[in-house]
Amino acid sequence: MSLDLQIPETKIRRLAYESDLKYSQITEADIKTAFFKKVAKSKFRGDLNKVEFVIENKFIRTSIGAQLKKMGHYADSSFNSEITRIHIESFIDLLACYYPEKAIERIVKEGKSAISHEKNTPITFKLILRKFLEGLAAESGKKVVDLGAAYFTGGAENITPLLSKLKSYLSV
Amino acid sequence: MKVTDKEQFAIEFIEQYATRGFGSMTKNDFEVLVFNCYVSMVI
Repeated sequence: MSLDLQIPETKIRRLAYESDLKYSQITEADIKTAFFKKVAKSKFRGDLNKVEFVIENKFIRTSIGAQLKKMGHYADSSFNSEITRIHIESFIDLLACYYPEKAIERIVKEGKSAISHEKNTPITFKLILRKFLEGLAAESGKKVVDLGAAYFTGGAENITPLLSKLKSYLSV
Repeated sequence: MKVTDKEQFAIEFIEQYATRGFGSMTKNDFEVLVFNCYVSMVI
């Protein structure tokens, strides 16, 4: 588009953001959908304990950043403004916020049978995801894991791919 | 990328300008409006 309009990319990005702010009717549901699309292409960086994804649209990026801030977390975009890195704790909270209640219930229900835990500790969605991601971090070492393609292809509604991999992973 | 339906582009632009910008737009606001119409027509 920059070449078509013969203006710099930075100006295109600024115009697109202002256009989204003023004229678009992006809803919370659209942001959730966009988030899961990005998560499906995310990478897990074992060396940093962070999940990394590319969000080109500034409006979506800012909205997700605002949601993180609301939950007391922050995103790191210092390397490149379009690359967002978030700590696994923040990522888990974000998933807990964006996943529909039914999906969370299903993950907890099916995760309970697979996870080994102390009797007094209640099994929660966050605990299951934390165990899973911490295990993944330990296994991957300092490598980069294609987290989205391997575990989060189903988006918010279809969690079957995540569940089957989660169960097989937790039961090892 | 080119705007193929120029008539629709003009209709949309005038509609937006008349309802949201007439008399109160800066050059930047005007550019944003044109950009918004352009993007909605070509994507």
